[in-house]
Amino acid sequence: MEPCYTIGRLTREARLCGWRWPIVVLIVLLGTALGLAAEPGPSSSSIGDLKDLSQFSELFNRDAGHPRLVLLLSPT
Amino acid sequence: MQKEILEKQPNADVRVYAIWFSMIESDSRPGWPRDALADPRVTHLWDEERVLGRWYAQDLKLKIWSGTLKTTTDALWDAYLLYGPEARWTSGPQPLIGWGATVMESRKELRASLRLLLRESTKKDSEPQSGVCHAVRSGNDRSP
Repeated sequence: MEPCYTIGRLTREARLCGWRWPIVVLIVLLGTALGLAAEPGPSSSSIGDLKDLSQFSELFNRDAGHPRLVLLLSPT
Repeated sequence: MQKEILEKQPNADVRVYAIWFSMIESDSRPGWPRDALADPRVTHLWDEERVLGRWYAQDLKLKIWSGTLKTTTDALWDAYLLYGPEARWTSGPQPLIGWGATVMESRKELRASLRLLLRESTKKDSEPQSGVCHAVRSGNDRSP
């Protein structure tokens, strides 16, 4: 008889029998990997908070040596 | 901006600061368009108090801008400001290479200024630019 694993005290329908486990794990891992791969880099998908001028001046001076472009934008 | 400048110059050594803030009621931080300017050279910042826009409008005193606006606003917005590699923020960011508004309508000037700047910045013996050019179109009549 095929070996089965019982998840807690659930009904028969909730049991996952032997050969299905590796497939479930594979799907979960694959989904996670794809999700991570699709996640864009922080600079293109995240937004920080600008609290005061000194914060921006530090950023501006940190990038000295490079041409810098400031864009003042509103979402709509 | 992204298609016309960043994508056309993928290797351009430029840092872009996209400063987002609310100018009309429907603007909000959650409504920030994360797909806009999706480029690793771009740093996105949400300016809740419009600190930088107000600074540019008031402290830098861009008279041409305020004189061009058809509506009253306390912040410079929908605008670009371009600085060379030698620029530093002391009492303010200087020297300013060029600026313009709206971004969309002054994009040709921006592209030309940026191209020239990038060409010059690659030369080790380049001199800082002394002149400031600006491009302002009067089409920005959106109410804040």
